[in-house]
This record gives sequence, structure tokens and C-alpha cells, in this order.
Amino acid sequence: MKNEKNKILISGNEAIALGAIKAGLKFYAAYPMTPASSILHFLAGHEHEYKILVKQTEDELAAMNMTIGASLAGVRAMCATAGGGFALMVEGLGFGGMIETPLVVGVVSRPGPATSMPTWSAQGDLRFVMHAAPDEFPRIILAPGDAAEAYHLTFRAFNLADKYQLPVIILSDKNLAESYFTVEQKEFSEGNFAIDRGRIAQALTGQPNSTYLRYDPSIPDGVSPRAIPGTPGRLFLANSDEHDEVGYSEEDSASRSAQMDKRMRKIATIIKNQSLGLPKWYGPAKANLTLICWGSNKGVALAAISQLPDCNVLHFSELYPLDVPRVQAELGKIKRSLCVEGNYSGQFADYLYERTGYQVNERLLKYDGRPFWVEEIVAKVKA
Amino acid sequence: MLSDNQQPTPLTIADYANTMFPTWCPGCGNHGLLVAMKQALAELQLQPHKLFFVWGIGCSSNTSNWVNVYGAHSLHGRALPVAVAIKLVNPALTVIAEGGDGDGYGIGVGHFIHSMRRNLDITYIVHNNQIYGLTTGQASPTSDKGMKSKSTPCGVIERPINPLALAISSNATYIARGFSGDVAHLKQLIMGGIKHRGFALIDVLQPCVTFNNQNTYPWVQERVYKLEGTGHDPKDKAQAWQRAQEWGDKIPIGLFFQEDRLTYRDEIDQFAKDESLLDHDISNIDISKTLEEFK
Repeated sequence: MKNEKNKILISGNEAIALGAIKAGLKFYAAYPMTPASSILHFLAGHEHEYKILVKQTEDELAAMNMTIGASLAGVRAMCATAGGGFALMVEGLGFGGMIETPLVVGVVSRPGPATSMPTWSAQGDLRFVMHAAPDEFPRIILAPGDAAEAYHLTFRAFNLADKYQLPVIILSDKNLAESYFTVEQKEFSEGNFAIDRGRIAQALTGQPNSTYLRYDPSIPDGVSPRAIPGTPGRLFLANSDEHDEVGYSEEDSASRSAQMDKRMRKIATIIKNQSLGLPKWYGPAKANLTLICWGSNKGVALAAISQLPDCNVLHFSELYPLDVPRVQAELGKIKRSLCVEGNYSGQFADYLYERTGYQVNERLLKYDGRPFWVEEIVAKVKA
Repeated sequence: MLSDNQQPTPLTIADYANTMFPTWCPGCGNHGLLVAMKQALAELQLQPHKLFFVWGIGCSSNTSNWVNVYGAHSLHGRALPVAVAIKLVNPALTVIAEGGDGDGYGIGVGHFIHSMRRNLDITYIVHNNQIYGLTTGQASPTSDKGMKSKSTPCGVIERPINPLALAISSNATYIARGFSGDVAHLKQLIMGGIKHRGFALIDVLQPCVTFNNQNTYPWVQERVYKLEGTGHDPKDKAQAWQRAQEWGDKIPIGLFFQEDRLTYRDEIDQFAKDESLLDHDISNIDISKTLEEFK
């Protein structure tokens, strides 16, 4: 039993909360919604220990807009909800994208649409979080596969949000949120935990007439230094209207295009920097069949291949944006594939096809609110 | 940088302006409000970089483009949650939220009520012209019953929101109404709101000269009277409630109600009263104790 001393028992939601604490979370806002609420409960229970401000808000619109306000003020901030609550946050998500403020948003899915089945699980919100909010702006989507990934990806989400000044969505689901994992403690204590707050404009005094270009569109990688309000000499406007380089409303054709280009250029920068990881292989290097999955289906897929000779797993937890040539190279190693996901149409399989041209051979889809059973996958493969 | 013995030049209203000129209609009530606001800031000698303004969306909130401060021109109806979070994180900033009657009393009315019961040290200025101006003339939550507009050709059926009564019942701690046609009086109310430690609502009657031909300058001018000098006691909630019911031939302006109450931030015991969360070191958070909870 002595090895047990080095293990912890932790749920997906607790791991997300702990990753946020480790990343220096200072502000968390949420409206209660199953299955995201236990993040709120955990953080509220630790707000004294880690000096965090946890705010239950009047609705999800307030939660999102307060998170944006806290981030604008200069601290690490996060909100989380389920798909229905995220629907109410969507306008705010676009605001965050428009003003290029770092945002970390947890979306813990349950079946939809509308209220649907509150205490059950689904992977039906992938396309929703990918496209949510009017028009286009860069974002990052991470989907952890287990508690340790939830912890590390949440930690990284804050660094990515700060580095690229954009929303980072952690897409989870009830299956991961409320499943308990036995994990070696070192998986939570070892790793790279360097904090990267990205580019921050320093105080400028003695030059009262200089203008700070918060949204300088000429910056090659799209990430212009942000200022923390209160800093002398760095006044700017965080404007939900399209704006000029200072932040004032501007609808000029060239300026609008330049600002769109600036924001969208970050996607190429993220890919060029290889800031997101590739999908991971599990099981034998070569196999006749590859189970493709994402997010919380990692566990069941790994359990299934332990009963299936000649079968491996390719699991995606860093979903968007994809580094297409490098992902294509991984997909090129597959003989035959079965994509296992918890939604009606096979959203991820379609996304892979759209981005990489790779077509999965078969799909195993489930949308009854239940997680996949190992037996179902084994039976499907053997059929 | 100023040396220690050098006196800073006093701030004037020019320090809060940029080089652009407001695009509001000639005669719009917003002009007077902006002047009163800048005068109040200058009189209080508030440095632009220590101010954070949050606007919603509307003619009111286009103010964002003509001032020189830290600010957010946020979403329609969502100025207050942004402002609340800014103040929660960094109490050193003077936080002022601004919006119109549609923004604050319509689409954002939920945040309005909850922000008042929260009582953060924020000043909220509502440009109340009883019409949607930016969208070219639809009825607003404060349009008088019967008002005909593009969206209500047969007249508004609902009774209007009473923002002052709503504020009293929602426990705001500084509640005032001003008139943009009386800049000197309005400036005093704004200064009072900024100095007040708690949630200050200043509802400002500011006629829309283009889309509201009912609540015009003469209409307001003939009706307003100042509470100061009437014997009104702003500490008396019952009196404030009675005055808040007056709307018609006589419309009171001035300070309706004020009380001292701890702010939401004061009552959070994990932080010192004016502690900025920006000062926390996050470079190496030790979670080892919490990991023990999971064993």
C-alpha cells in the first residue's frame, strides 16, 4: 500500500480549478450551472488560502463581462459554465476577442439544445465553441482527456491567453468533470510552471504628447503590447466598436482591414510558434485500426485497446487552431480509423476533414447523455 | 517625471479631451453632460491614467471616443459588470460607468439592480433622454406612457421605469438626478457621486433634440426644480421615495438620497480594504497543501 501515499484522487473539475490556481488565478466569476458548478465551489472554498476573488453573478452575461473587466484591469481571470450558459456569454466572448484581452473560459458540456439533460454528458458543443460570436477572431480551444491533462492544460491556457491576448476555451464535459481519477501526485507537482504574462507596455513618463498605439496593426505577429490601466502614459480605449490603433471607433476601409488582419494574424503566429501540441498516440506504434478521439473519451479508448490487439489510439486535446501539415503527417500513419465521439453528427471527424482533408473510415457516435462503455467500442471494432 | 519639489500643473478640462469633436447632433443634451463631467474631473484633479471609464452602447457611450482616459466601450447593457470587476481588482482606480436609458434601464437593468445592492465604489451616470437616439427613435424604458415613436406609432402602452425609485429599493447609496441644461448643478452632483464611497446613480435628463419631440428642453426646463433649498433631507429614505414619485408638472433634480454603507469590496475579508490584486505575486504558487486534500 505504500505507493498509495503518492497518489491523489481528483475529479476533472477539481483539476481545472487547481490548474487555474497554479496559474495565478485572481478572479473567477460564474453563474451556477451543472456540470460546471463544482469549479465554482472548489475555488470559493479556497479563495482565502490563495487570495482569489470568486464572484457568483446575477447571470452568465455578468460572469463573462466581469471576467473581461478583471482581465482588462490586469489580473488572471476565468469564468466557466455549461453549453447553455456559454450561449449567454457569447456576445461577451466576441467583446473579449475584439479588445484583445486575455480570457480563459471553461465550457463543461452536457446534452443540448436548451436545458436538455442537465446532469448527463455530451461532446456536442465543439462546433459551437469553435464558431461562437459574430464574425471571426482568433481563439484557442483545448479539450483535456483526463484530470492530469485538465490541470496542465488549464495552467497553459492562462499563459496562452496572456501571450496571444485572446480567449482560450477549455472544453470539457460532465464525463470528465465529475469522474474521479487516481493520479500520481508528481503528475501535478512536476512540469514547467513558468508564468508568461505576455507583452505588457511599461509606464511612460516625461513624454506627455506621445501616443500609445495599443492596437498597432503593423506589429508583425499581431500581438501588440497591452497596458494595465493605472500605468502612466499608456491611455487607450478597449472598444467593442471596430477601432483605430489607439482604440477609438474607426470605420475606415483600410483601418478595418488592418485591424482584422492584425487580430487574425495571431493564428499563424500560434502555429508558427508551435504553441499547441500535436495529437498523442497510445498503444502499438503500428496497428490495423486507429481509434481517433478527443477530450474526455481518452480513458475509454485506452481501456478499449487494452482488449483489442492491433488497435491504437490517436487522441486530440489541443483542438484549435490545428497545425495542418503536422497533423496531416500524423494522420498519414493511420491504416484504418474509427472516430469515437459523443455527438450526433461526428463534429470532430467533420472538422478534421474540413481542415486536413482526412476522412475517417468509420464513426462511433453516441448522444444519449451517457459516456461510452468500453464494451460498445470493443463490440463495434469486432463487428 | 516630476521631481519631488516640483508642483504638478493643475489639470484642466483640456486634459480629459482628445483632438476629436463629438458627432452628437447640435443641441444634443450630451454636450452639456460631457462639459459637466470634464469640469467635475478637473475640479477633483483626477489624473486621466487613474480613471477608468466604462461605457455601454448608444449615443451616450460614444463619449468614449472624445475623451482621454483609460476606458472600455463595452457591449450594450454590459458596462456595469465590467466596471464592477475593474473596481474589485484595483480599488486605486476611480471607476465611472456611463450609458443611456435603453442601455442601463432596458437591456442592462438586471446588472443595474445587482450592482446597486452590491454597492461598489462606482459612479454610474445615465444619459436619460427617454428615447433610443442612436437607432433613430424607438421607445425606451423611460418613455412616457402614450409616447409615439417609430416603434410605437399608437403610443407606448407600458408604464415607464422609475430609475430613482428602483435605485432606492435596490439600496444604492447615492441617488441623484441632474439636467444637462444646468451644467453647474450637474457638475456638483457628479462630483458628489465620485466622492461618495459607494454606488452612485446620477440619472441625467438630457433632451434628444432629433428623435424626442415630447421631452424637449423647454418641457424639462419648465418642470425641474432643485431639491436643495426645499428642506429635503437626503438621509431620509421615506422622503427620497416620495420625491422619486414626482414626475409630471414638477420634476425634482438634485440629491435624493445618500447613506454611508460598507462597499462589497470592504466586506471581502481575504483582502485588505484597498489592496490591489495586481500586487499579488503569482510567479510560484504553492499548491502542495491543497494536493494533500485529495489523498
